[in-house]
Amino acid sequence: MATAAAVGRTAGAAARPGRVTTAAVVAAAILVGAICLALVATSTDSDNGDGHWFVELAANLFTIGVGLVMWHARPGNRVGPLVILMGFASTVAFLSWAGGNAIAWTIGDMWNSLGLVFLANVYLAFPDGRTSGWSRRLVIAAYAWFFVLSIGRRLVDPYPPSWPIRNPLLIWPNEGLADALSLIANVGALVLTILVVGTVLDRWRRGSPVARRALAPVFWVSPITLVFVGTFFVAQVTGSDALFALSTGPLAQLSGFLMPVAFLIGLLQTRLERGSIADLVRDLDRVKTGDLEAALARALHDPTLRLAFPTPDGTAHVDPTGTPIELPTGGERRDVTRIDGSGRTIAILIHDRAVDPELVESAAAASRLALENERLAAELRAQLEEVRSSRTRIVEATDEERRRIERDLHDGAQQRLVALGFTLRRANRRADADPELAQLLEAANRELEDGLRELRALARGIHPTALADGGLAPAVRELADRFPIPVVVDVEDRRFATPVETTAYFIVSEALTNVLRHAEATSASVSGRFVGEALDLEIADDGRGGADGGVGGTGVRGLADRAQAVGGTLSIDSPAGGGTTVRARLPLA
Amino acid sequence: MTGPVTRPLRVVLADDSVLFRSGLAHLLADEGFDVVGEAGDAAGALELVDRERPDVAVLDIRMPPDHRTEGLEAAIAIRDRHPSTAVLLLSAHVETRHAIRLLRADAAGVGYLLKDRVMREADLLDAIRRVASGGSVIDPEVVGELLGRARPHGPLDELTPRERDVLALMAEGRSNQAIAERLVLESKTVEGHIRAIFSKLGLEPEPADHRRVLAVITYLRA
Repeated sequence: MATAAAVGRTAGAAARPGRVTTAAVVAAAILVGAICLALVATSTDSDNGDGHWFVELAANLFTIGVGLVMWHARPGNRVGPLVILMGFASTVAFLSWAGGNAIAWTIGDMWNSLGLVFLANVYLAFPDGRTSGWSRRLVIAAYAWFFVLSIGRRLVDPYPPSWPIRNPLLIWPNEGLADALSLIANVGALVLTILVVGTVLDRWRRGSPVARRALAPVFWVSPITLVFVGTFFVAQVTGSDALFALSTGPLAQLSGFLMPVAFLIGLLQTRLERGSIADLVRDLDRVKTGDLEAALARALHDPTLRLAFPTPDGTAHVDPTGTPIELPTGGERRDVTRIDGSGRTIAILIHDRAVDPELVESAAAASRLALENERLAAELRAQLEEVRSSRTRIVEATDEERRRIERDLHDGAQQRLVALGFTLRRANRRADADPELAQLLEAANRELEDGLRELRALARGIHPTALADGGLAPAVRELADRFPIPVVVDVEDRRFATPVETTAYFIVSEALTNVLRHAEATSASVSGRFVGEALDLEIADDGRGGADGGVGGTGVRGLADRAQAVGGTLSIDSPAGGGTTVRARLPLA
Repeated sequence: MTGPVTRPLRVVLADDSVLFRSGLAHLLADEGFDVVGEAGDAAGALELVDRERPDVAVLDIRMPPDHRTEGLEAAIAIRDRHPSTAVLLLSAHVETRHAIRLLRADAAGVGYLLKDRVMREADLLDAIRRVASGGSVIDPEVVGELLGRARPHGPLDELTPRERDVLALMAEGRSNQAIAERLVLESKTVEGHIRAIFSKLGLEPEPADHRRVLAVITYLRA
């Protein structure tokens, strides 16, 4: 498995165990099995009367075999190797039947617990082979438990004098400490078992459909195994022979076969769903751009699947709608699979860890072309979105600038000119003795008044104060009041966001200017209504119609641009001889 | 306030431009008004009026903090609190709806004047005196804009040119006497014109000048 980024993975990079590795594992299993069998068989105290230990050995070797199959089926997944190790640990633990051989029995008894630790690890890492967070801490605790308590106890445990064997690892005999450690170890095993069960139950409860699918077989077999494991440890703590017999009896041994099979079925569950990939391939040419995410989610049985595309500059990711998306950073049970093509990452699948990577790879291979299209489409949408928002920003900045200029004219130039008027007046009063000068000052004052009137008209054209003070309705009404032909105004008197008001006002203003310029109309009307979450504007006239509603009409184009800048639409209806109606719909949010 | 003014009118000014305020204060002082206080914003103006109880408050419509209609709100508040203080509102732009709001709140003793008008000294002084004596003043440019509005054919088209002149002067808040003087007509003739206008427009005759202003402006605005 090639790990591309922190949690990244590139589809199809995991290598299967080679032939040599496989042969070595098989040979080791046979060798260890044979040694253990020989040691047990030759032990003077081996309890081989009913031969059920033989079944146990078979179950252990079977587990190793199943582990190998898993490793081959899911090369990138640690569950396979873990199951193999569990099989070996159990095989060695089989030595605990060699009651007459001190070394063999001691090793076997110790490894009984190691088998349990591996089992806990397999449970917690299932089905994706990795542990993180809480389950990772649990696994570490389990290994620590084994090394500290199970091995440590041997160093101080003098076996009971009644036993035929002595403890070969004993370095500091202390019966009390040994008993205490033994009790702690057994209680610890029980606690560990409960925590593992709790974690798996929790994972089931919160798991995605695909994770549940993988967990299902394990889920049904686990109670049987748990009962026997639990019984075994209770037997250890209480020293009950009956419970001990039950926990190692034929039923328990049967469960030894069931467990690995359940894990195998769970792991291959998704593999059995290859048919869905065939469906995906069949459906691809019917899948519309934008629906690929849903099609992949269906094919991989993971409704939580998300599709992401790297942005052209490679610094961020967007989803198929062009919206920025964050990749998971680990922690959650989410995986990131990169799909590469022509030297770059085409797409990224964010999916549940439980999804079979090979299945993901098949799906990715099947949909690579569609993904490439989807990526281009997402890129385009992202660019479009960027252009749209930058246009909105430009329009807003322009409007703000107009407001500022209007204010500057009003507070600056206009005030100064009026003040100049006062001065001229006062000069005039003192010019009584000089009628010629008085006349000049009077003329200057008239010029000033004309200038002020023009300045006022200019400021009003730049940004009407009525718009800022009263909103759209009064501003349109004042516009209509000054219009040379009658305009019926019917605009709801309500305030909107400044960009909407400004846009609406300039659309009305521009449309009315067009009426005057081209329509030869005798009257016009302006209406503004709320419909849903939008402002519907309509500017109509009774003129000659025939206005160019297409891109050709630059005036109309400008109107449409303004509407679109706030996410709105604009249409024009202008049949020859039938008047012109401009309709705009501006969303309020 | 009736009868001839025997003492200087006490005036309060409010405008956020110091330049404008001091220019106006000088002009009024030159003309024998008693400028008792100046303020830079609406709150200051209200405080000043509360304290000084002037005859007239001259307010700019746009003042800090928001530069919207603070002056208009202050004008309405002043008329409400101090009926003896008349208000003259100055606006940099023709905004009919502000004029109408002011008239609706209290048509007597209020005026709405374009800011440029202050340079026509005679018009300004006349407006201050008229509001101080309980009249109402509407800037001729506001009236002109209302009369000049494009509208479908209607009763206004039935008026004679002379009647239109009378209507405009009524809308500005002029009394019959003033209209007669302005148009060089007999008082009786003016009264005749007014009756004809009200009849043609379908309005109820309004004897009081300030009520007449509101009726006419509302009609023109409709």
